[in-house]
Amino acid sequence: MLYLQTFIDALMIGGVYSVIAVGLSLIFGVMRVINWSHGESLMVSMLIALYMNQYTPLDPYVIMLIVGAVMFVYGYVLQSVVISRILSRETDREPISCLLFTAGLGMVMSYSVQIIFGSKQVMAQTKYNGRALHMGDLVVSLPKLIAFIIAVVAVAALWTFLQKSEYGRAIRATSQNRSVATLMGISEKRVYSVSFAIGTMLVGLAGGMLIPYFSVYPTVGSVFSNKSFIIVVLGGKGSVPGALLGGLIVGLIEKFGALFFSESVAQIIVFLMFIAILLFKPTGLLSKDKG
Amino acid sequence: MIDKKKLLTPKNILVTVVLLILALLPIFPTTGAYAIQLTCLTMLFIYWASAYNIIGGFAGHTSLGHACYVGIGAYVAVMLYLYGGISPWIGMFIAGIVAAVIAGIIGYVTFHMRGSYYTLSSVALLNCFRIAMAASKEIFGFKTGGAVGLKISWMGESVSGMQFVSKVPFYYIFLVFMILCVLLCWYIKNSKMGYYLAAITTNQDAASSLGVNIMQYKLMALCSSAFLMALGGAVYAFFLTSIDPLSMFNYDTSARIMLMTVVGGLGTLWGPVLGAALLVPLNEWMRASFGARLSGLSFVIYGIILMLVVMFLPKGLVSLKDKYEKRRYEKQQAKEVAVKEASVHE
Repeated sequence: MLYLQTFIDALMIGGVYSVIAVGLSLIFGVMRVINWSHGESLMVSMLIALYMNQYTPLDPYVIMLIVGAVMFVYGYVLQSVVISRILSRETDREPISCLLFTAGLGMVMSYSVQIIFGSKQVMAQTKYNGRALHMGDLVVSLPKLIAFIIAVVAVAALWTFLQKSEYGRAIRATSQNRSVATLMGISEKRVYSVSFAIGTMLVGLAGGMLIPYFSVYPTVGSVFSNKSFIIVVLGGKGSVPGALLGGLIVGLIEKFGALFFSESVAQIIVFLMFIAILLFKPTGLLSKDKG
Repeated sequence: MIDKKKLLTPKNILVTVVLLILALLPIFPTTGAYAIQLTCLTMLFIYWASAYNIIGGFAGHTSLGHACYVGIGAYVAVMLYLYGGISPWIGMFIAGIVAAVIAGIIGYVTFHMRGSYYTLSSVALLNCFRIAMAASKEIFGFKTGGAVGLKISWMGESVSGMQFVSKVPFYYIFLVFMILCVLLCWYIKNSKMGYYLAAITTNQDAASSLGVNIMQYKLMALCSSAFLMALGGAVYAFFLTSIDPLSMFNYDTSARIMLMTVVGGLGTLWGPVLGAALLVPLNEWMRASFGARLSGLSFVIYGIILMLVVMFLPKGLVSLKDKYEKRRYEKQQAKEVAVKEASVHE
């Protein structure tokens, strides 16, 4: 029974890891850019959701959608106004300057929040806090269950969008070969902006779904972004099902590692697995990319 | 024969004057303890930024977890001293070798892949070490102090134990370290290795097809960088007299070292020197004048500086000089053309 409980807990946190990592993976896969401020975007999303929850009567999951939309606009503007300029200067296949720029942006975001709001942990008070479903001996936290379901639906929706829709095809084409895609009449810049915006939108949704059970503090982003980096490599960059699988695997290792050993041993196992993947299957578990 | 004219360039004179001032600074009676402390930190960061530049600049692999090697150096040297009685002067080289081996393993795994894989794993390695050191009370039966860390207890002034009442001996250690590191960077940049690395960062496929062993040279760059970082970390530990996982395996320190190099000029000899010499005093000054409440302010400014430099000055502050000279040259050319045209018209 304990194992089943741990398994359920692992899946639920793994789902949230997935939805955060999918955004990073999409940006990495399409633009070959690592958005180093990904975690800080999550932190800001959580903060916006926290304040909206405090000062508006809206349901936390309606707020989540609003934050997602806000982060979509943020990502679109950031990419089309700033990052595209840096990107156009780069000739390298994986531009390092975008990574450096977003690292600077992340620093500004987390330390500005620290200065303005202090570094204490704040927990949002929503009507979902602490509510749980009891099924026999099993206890399932309601906000975690909702977060897991939304996460899986969001990842599935993204996958369907990329596989079935016309614009999804354009995004995939650009990630495979951007010069040929441009020849086919696809606007590279717009594809990049939309991909970046989807990536930050997913982070916005994740921020919204996290606040009923995860406290907000200036460095909360790095907790998730460090895992996302590992999940992206694990699943294969740009691979949506890979990120879902990777997120669930990391969740499982963390929870079972903590059960059998300790939380820090679990973190080390995750890292060793990351190294093993780089050694034996560097393109990731579910990537068709040849590196 | 050495050409005297070549030696007396403005740059060489400036470097000599700065080094003379640095060498004499502790002797001046007006120099306070704060100035010594600040200069120590600045020189240490110049040393670290230059060491980082070998992998980050020359070899073109950004690392955001370079403080990992600082931490490894500090822990290995301190534990060798506390439990083995080994002098830090020897211990720091052992620490350097340990760091280089660990870096070599990570490099071997990630350099197969192009692009940002090393960057990702550098942060993962840093976090892994920090969590492991904070959680484990002992390694191989020797106490590490867990999250609290270790203290180097005072055992009287000794040169072999690197324990001094005043910070001035550390000042000279950092000064020598800094000079040697910059000289080493100069040597690497102008050696076969430097040219190969430049070829690799410019076009890896072309370099590879010309027979450059990419893995070997990248590993050489990474291992020497990690070795130097650990050496600095070991001395820094004895300078502080206490170490703990959070301050040693620190992400912010890693980011600062990277940032100084990028702001100064990635892959140039003087870029890291200039970057650290400007940004360390800025940080200390801000911390002194704004206090703990606004302690994050310097990082906000760091971040803004980094973003501005990446956007408008991608080759760093050092490239300002080239830009200035280019503009002056162009003006001179224009003037000469104008004079010529004028004479033709006459």
